[in-house]
Amino acid sequence: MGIANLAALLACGLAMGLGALGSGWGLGYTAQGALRALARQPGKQADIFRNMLVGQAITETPAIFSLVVAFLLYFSVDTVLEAPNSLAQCAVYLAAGICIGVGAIGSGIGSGLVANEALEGMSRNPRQQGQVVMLMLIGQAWAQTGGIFALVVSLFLLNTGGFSGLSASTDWHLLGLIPLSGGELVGAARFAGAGIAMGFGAIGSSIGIAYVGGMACRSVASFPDAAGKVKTAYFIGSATAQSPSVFSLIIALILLITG
Amino acid sequence: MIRRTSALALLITLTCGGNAFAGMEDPPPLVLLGLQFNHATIILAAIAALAVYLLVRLLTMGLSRDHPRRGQVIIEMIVNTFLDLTKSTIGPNRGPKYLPYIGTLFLFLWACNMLSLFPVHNNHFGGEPFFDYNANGIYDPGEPFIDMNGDGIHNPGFQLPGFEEPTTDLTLPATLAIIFVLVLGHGSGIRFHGIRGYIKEYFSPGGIIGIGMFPLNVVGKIAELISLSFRIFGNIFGGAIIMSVVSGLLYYFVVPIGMYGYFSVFAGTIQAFVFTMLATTYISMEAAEEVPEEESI
Repeated sequence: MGIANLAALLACGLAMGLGALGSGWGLGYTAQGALRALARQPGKQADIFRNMLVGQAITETPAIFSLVVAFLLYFSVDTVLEAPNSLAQCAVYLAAGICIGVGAIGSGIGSGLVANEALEGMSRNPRQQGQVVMLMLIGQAWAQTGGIFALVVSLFLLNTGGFSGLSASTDWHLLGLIPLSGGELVGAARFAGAGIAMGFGAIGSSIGIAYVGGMACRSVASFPDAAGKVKTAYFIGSATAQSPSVFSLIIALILLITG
Repeated sequence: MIRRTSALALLITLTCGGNAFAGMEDPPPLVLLGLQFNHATIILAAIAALAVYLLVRLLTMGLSRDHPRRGQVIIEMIVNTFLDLTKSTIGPNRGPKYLPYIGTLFLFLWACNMLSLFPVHNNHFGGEPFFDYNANGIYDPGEPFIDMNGDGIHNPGFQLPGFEEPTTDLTLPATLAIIFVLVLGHGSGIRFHGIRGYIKEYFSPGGIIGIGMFPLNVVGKIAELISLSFRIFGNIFGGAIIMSVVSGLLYYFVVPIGMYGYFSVFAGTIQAFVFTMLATTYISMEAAEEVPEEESI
């Protein structure tokens, strides 16, 4: 049992603990919007309830991604590791856990924001319900793109191999001295950097896109005549708001592929 | 009645025969032209496609204008939903042309996600038994099979996969994303705007800023494909993990019906619809009709 198993268990906890944070927030925020909509339109109870469930099912996605990575990390404990005492392998596990855990926070909150605003719009103008649901699904899906990038980088990290060249020459323990080679230190920093870049880079974009998507739902519900122009501005605005997380993805992939 | 009984008998045979060859290792994936083919995904996708075809043929039998049957009402509801979707996103004239693709995509993905509701184990057919004894009866971990053919190659036979969602394999959603966004969407973009207009979109604001935006736009198009395919893969895979863990905690004695209802039926339908709708949106970004400017009063 090497130190990498310890890192995998720690990363498993980090992934699920941080990943549940954003989704829980978003789920509650969706339900809050549903309650407000219900108070305004008591006659539309069935529609509002259905749309709340749909919104919540999608808001839960980042937590499910975190769960996938957490289970993959858990199952990788006690398997035959390539270099059980390699610092680089520890860095890979911790980076994968932090990447999806932190990356899921923004996606969860963002999806909840969009669903909340969409329910608000539906309650103000129930006749626009069909179009608002479409915009809500698109907005939530785009708010989750950051979380999906984090999932991609996490799975990429977990499939990284070739630690034998990076492992320290002698095995080491927590309390002993840590003999490190230069190559191993660089490798560990590379993997950790990739995870941190994508995980933290996904938060802002996801919440920012959610503001755009939420306001698009509300505007289309309130002013259906302006729907075409609102949609054009919405698509361009969210594509631009997405670019910071795309930068993070590029840097993370460069860190993983090169070197 | 006879049909139902025989179908049930077939289902029970498949279910109970599942563990007859337990312990055999999975056959390696098929390798063709340097590409790996996961045969389980291919078979399950074919089963889903066949199921969609048979279901739709069954529901559209005996169409009538005056006395529509239940199947006809269901089909009309689905068709109307996707007709509205394509008309509102792509346009009232071009939209209906895309309806067959979009509707088929949804039905196929939905059938794929519903496959996990059928309790069928993995089945092995043919092949050689998998023992740790060699032909002389001596325990030999180095030669883990009885070579019946004498050709020295272990023949694992053929494995009929159990019913899992083929969407838990990333190759299926990635293929669908490439077909629908890259081929159909970008192909329509080239067809409607010409190759020059299509390339011009990558320099979208135009001018000097446009040259700087070019790499960003290219990466954005690739990010569309990644996010589209990983979204449904992650969701369905996560749901499958949750259900298998809960089933294990219940010692496979009780079927967690509520979990199947939520993660398989509800989330599976919603994810199929989200995939379809996002694909339509990405197509519409390339192929949407130019709406004439309305004069504001």
